[in-house]
Amino acid sequence: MFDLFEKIIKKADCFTELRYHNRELNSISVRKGELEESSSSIYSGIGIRVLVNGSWGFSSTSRLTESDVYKTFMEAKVAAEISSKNKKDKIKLAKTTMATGEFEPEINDDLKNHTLDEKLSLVLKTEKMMRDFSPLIQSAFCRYSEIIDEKYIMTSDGARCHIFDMKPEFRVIAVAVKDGDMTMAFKATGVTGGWKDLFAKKKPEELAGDASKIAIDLLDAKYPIGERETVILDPGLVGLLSHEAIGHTVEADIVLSGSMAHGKIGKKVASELITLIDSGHSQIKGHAGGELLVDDEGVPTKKTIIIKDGILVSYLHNRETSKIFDVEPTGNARAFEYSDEPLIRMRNTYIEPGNHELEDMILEIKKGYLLKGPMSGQADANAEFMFGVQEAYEIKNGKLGKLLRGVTISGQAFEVLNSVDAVSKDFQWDLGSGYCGKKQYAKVDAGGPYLRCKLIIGGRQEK
Amino acid sequence: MELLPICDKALKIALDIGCDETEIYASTIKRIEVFFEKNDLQIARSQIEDGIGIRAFKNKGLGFSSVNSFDEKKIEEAIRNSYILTKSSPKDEFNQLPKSQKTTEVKGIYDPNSESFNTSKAMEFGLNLVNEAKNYDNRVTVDSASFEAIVGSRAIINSNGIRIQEPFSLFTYYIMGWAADDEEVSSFDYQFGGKRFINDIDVKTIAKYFAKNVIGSLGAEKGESFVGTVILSPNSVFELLIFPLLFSINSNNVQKKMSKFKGKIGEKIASNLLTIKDNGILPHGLGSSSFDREGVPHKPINIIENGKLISYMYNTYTANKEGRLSTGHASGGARTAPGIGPTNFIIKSGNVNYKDMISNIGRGIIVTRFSGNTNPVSGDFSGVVKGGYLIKNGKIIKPLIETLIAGNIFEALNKITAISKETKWVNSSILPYLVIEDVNITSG
Repeated sequence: MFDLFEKIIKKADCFTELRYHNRELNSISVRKGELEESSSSIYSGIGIRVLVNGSWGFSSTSRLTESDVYKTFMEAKVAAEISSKNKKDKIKLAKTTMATGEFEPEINDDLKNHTLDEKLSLVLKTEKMMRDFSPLIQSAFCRYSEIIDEKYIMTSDGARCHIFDMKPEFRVIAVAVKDGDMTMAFKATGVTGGWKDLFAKKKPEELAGDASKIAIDLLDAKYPIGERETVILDPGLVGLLSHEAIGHTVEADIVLSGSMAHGKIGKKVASELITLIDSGHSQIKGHAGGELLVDDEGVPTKKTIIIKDGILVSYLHNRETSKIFDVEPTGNARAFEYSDEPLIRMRNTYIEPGNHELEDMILEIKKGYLLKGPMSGQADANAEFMFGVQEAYEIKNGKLGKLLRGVTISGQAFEVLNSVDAVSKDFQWDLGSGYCGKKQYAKVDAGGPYLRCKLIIGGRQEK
Repeated sequence: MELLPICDKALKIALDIGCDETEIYASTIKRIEVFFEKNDLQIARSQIEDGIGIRAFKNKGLGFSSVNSFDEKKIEEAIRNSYILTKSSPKDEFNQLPKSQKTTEVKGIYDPNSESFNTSKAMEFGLNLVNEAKNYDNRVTVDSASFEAIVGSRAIINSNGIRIQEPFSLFTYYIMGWAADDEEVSSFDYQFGGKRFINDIDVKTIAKYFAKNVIGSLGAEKGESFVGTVILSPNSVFELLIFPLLFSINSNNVQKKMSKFKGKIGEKIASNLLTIKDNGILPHGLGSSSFDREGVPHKPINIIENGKLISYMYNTYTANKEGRLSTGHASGGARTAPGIGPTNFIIKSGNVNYKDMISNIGRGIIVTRFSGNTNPVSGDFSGVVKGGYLIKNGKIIKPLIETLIAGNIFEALNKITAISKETKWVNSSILPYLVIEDVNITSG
């Protein structure tokens, strides 16, 4: 592949970025004993981006002969030339050390060591396990999927790398029904790594058991009364808050369109207990689902500290925005597939653990909630968010109480982080089965410790 | 590009290695897009993509694989993958492919001139789109806009004798953003347009419409809280009603007991005024094609007639479960096995002019766009009104900010009291303005 790339770059008289991406995607899903999906797909091709007179042109092809690839390069170049006549603000790229060599994350037990039969029977077995858990579980769903990627990236200014990656996911949903009432619970895991890494935290039967139990417990749960409360967020919710409500506002392209974080570098934006990071590597614990060793512009990724002890210190950049802000690129340019051009995206986003014990954090609460399990999430560029919570436990006089249902939380994320008064010693990655959508998808992860803070609990009045 | 010979070869390989029934879907697409962001050109891009999807059954077990290449070796490998998957899959007696039926060719979905459409041409249309909006009023801010041209062909053959190919072209464009006046920022607006033929492309109309909307919503004030009448624009009909309706008429959701419309065929589920059709062979339709993802011919289907539920949407698998024929609603492309989806989803226009609709309302609001959540199972919805206007005594009083609406979709369907003569394309739906009574309107 590099030979072909070199031929193109030799003929090019402009900045040229070539990316071959072969993606193998396998998935199996079963609902209520019925196989809904058993598929295997290959999606591969070359995406070429060129910069002419400060304007981008991008073209991609699934046809890989030298003449087709050259034609694609010319398409990109013509597109850039036409663009440059109409572009007002000319683009420049920051110079940095580009990635060279071979890159592969740590993989324990290659996914290819396990046959399709084994994966299919695991999905069938796990789905059945939930329906067998109790007669109250009337429907269940289980899905296994794996993304296996190989990339070659070369740029006319020095990147030359060959990258392997493997990201499996496993998810279960249990639906419980009683007296016409229906509840649902969801558990999932997703990692960068192999078969052994996927089930390192929890085994399939534990995920199935947890989801079934929660769905059944929710049947008897009551709705909370909406109010502003002291709460403890679990690592999953801390991850969702870090990614969805804070992370997007510090993506430099969103900052330039006027997000909440615009002009806030060097200013205090959160409690001094908060250090928030986005990293291409798996920090603290291994195999985070958003691992990215080199970004899709060929820049080696690193650990990017966004908020340090409550002070905003960095945005997330590609080569274009790092030139505008006069900083080093952070390796956040990502393209989902070969036919996508790189955009600024997050990788593994988290809050650093602190010094508190979770038990003490609960003990110190007179009235509040322990919130676990992120469901849906929405946030705006002004950092206002609304998330659904799967499990909400009352805390009264330092003791955990009843489970509640239908709980949503909302607030302004920076205000919520300002209200943090305790950060636990624990740490978990929890969103590895998640995808982030921003014109294209990206595989990301997020997590953190338990946080104690204040926010708005939305529920409804008692039935 | 001739796709059928590629499909023929693939089908032969599949049957030779032992598949019982096999379906080969192939497509080739050329795509050109110019994309604008923050009032400036962001990128011009183009793409050529070939794709082939193989669905095979062996002993009634399912296997699907796809590859985005017409390279013979890669296709053969994909077929083998599909065959391997069938062998592990549990037997399902409803796994059967459709039989060949007579297909009528739909008119007006392919412009031969589109084969030579290029980036310069796309740039011209894209610049016209953005400049028309900016020139309307200098307070208009274009957050993003896009002009995209797609030209391609799709083919399908199966071991039951279906063998068919069809070319198509499609030009789509959108513009979104707001108006800013000193410190004030208007509501966000989004407008979409699409055509099949180059000569029909009209970016200026949607650009003006967008500009007029965002300028018109400047100077918005808080409104009033009441239970009352709303006028939904075609855009907000799409955002509020179409997703839960499509979910509820999807036969898979009906069979899995997730649809509110289960067991309601022949029953009244909406106001007498409401008639909905899905017509896959509408000439020039943005969702038109002669056949669906399984090669079943498209035909017009009545979904709701004068408030009565007439039909769900079926593909071959869900139809087999009920011993009936597919309605031609298998959806998707080369990368996934057939799902279920609409073609041109059409709410029949009514007999009231939009202007008269407004003058007939004592107290109500116009909802230009809706941004919120809808639960397709229960039908509960709540969300924010964008580009809202207060109506009193038949007159538009003022633009609104911070207004929320809430209610239940299935109840709202029964409270439609007027449907406009005017309709508009929103993606591949044709939608009128609707008047709905008894909606909870809350001013923040």
